[in-house]
Amino acid sequence: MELNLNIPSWSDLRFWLPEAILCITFLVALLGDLVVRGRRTWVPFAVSVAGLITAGAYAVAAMNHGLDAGQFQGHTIMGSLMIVDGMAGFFRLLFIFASLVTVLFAWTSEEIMGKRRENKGEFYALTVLLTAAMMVMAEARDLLMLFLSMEAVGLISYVMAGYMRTSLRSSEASLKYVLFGAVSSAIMLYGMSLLYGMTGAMEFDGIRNALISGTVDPFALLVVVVLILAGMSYKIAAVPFHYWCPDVYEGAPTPVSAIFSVGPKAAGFALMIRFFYTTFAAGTDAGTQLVQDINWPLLVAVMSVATMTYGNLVALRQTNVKRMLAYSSIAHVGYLLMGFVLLSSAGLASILFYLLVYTLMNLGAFFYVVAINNHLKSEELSDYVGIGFRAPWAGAMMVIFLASLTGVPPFAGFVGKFYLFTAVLDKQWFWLAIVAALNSVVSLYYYFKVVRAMFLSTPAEGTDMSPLKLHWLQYVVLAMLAIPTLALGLFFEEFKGLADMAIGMMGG
Amino acid sequence: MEITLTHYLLLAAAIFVTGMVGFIVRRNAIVMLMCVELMLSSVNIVFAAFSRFHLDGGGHVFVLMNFAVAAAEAAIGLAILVEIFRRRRTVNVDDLKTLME
Amino acid sequence: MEGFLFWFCGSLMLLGSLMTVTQRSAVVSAVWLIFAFICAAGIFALLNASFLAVMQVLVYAGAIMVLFLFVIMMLQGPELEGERKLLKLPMWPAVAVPPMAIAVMIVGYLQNKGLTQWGPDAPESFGGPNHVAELLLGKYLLAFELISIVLLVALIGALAIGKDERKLPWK
Repeated sequence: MELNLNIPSWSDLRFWLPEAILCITFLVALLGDLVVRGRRTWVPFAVSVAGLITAGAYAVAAMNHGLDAGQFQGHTIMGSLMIVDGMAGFFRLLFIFASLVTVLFAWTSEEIMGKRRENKGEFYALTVLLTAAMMVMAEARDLLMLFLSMEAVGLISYVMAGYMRTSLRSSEASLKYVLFGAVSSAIMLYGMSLLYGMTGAMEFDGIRNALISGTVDPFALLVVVVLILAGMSYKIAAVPFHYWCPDVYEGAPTPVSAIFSVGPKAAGFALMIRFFYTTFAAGTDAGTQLVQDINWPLLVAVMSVATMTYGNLVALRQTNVKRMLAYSSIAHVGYLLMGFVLLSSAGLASILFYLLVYTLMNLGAFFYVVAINNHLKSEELSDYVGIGFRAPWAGAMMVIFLASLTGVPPFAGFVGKFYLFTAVLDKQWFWLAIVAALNSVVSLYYYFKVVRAMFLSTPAEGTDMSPLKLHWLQYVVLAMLAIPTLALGLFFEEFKGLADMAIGMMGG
Repeated sequence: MEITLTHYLLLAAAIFVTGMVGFIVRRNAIVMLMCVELMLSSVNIVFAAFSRFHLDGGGHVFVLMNFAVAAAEAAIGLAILVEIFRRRRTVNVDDLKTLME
Repeated sequence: MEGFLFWFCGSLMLLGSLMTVTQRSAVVSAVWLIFAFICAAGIFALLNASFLAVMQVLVYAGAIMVLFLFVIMMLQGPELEGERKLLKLPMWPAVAVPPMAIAVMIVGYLQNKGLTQWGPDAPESFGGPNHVAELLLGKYLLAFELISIVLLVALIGALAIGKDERKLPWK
């Protein structure tokens, strides 16, 4: 029998060049690592950096071209499975930037490279592939692609958490990660299968059209949404699906935790924005009119409050800086969810802007921990006493990151929070804004605890106070993160405009 | 009695719940992974049933992808399990103290 | 005939999954799971998904479960056989009832909307290899490529996790 293959046009693939470059980079880095194994460890590193920069250049060019044309409404790729539009362009740049600085910093990290700089080439290859998979997450517009890209990101994360074992604890944390990750994706799949059944479509457009036609039972839809939201919450580590987060972050090498705390979370938000905005809000500013029977705002608001409160309160008790940063990243997911409550374009744009800011400051804080770990072999707060004076420049940059994470003006974190707050206040959600403001005050306490240990506490007699010598690359990367953190706090309108445009240019 | 879509959905729901209960009550990590496989296969039945209902092949493709993802997840999960067993000589999650706090 | 086959395969599959969950020995559980998967293949065949039925036997009951059995055999020992603390049997309904209720409710609501009767008969080729191939290599080509990356990651990951650092040839 003859097959009637209907292969979509290959020429679409030119819009997908950055992802293709990253996939090739992954293979080259992996093979290069195998060929020169154990001798020239710089090969996978250099290949990864080159690949990320090339892909980044193409992504910037595509973004520029789209903006010049004035209508970056999106090009679908090979049928209707994926779309490259303004929002995808924004997230592409974000992911490539985050991976690039992580790869650069990991080069100087003893946790990744080992004391004798023995091979850990897989780290670079896997980070590059993780970037590509996250980009697909931001571009998927079909349930199948959504699921597959989430699984790709999940599996790469399991491997990255599992194979670099710093301790027994980290092996067990990665087992927990895999087991609960598998069960949460099974729950999400159950929701997806029912959604497919109710709407008869897997593309987001088709689902939206079915919802508009009003044949879908609201109660069944509510259950389905809760099931799907469960799987997505696992990815972004929102309460009550956060339990893996602190253990995995603490168990994994710090550069891996750094990219985990930023990349997959941002990708999860990208996917949630595209899925819920195009299906429920019909890509307009009408909010959740299609699903009025579901009290969507309340559902998300409760999740948001629970997440930020839990993260902040537990972070208060932590004595390990890495674990504290893990809980703080949970709290930040809570703030981010605030922008999601109303599914309005203003709220979503403020999520994008905050993700950008969060990437800068959170990566910076994690990288400082990496740099200190190289010397102290510890992340305990008690070992941080007086560390600020031993490496004053890096210490000063850490203070910038922590202040920005708290949300103190004039740093970028303040501007990001300001936009999130105005998005909810616009629609009279006063209690949510008040709870979030109280949470920010609580967070001040534990962030300040680190600053106090670094600069204000008097070290015990006999503590080594010799200056720490940091690698020059570490200063460069920290400055790459600290300067934008400062600059975005002062000149934010340009980038907020970019975020607004990205949401405005989301193809349905 | 005629077999309708509901029959298939109820069967899948029952199996999904069985798998989920198993995941909660069992303490052997390998069996927990097997319970996840059970949940996935109930999802596959839902997809196949709706695919037949809408006469749309998309569900079949989803099920095939699901097979591959299940295999990949099992491979990674089991590799981590073997690694832990080498060090701890157990796969009982109650003994893995850090896991269940 | 369809009715009989459905009840036959369905009840056996449910039995298989119940036994998987309740058997204390991991090996016995795995064998019951294979049994359940073969019954699932029967369900697929009833749903006009002939290609899926074949794949279910080959990939699921064959490859994946062999992997499980292989690992169980590799880790053989008393630790795997029993579980010292299983939840007490009377407690099980407490765990099972809430999700069961939700599942039944969803199905019930779906039924309300008249989603119960099958439409027209499926065309002859529906669910066959040709039909699936047309979709897989046509509309869903990109997904097909993505899954190859997922499998590649699983391969490399399992190697990276499983390798014993001391026995590497270049050390």
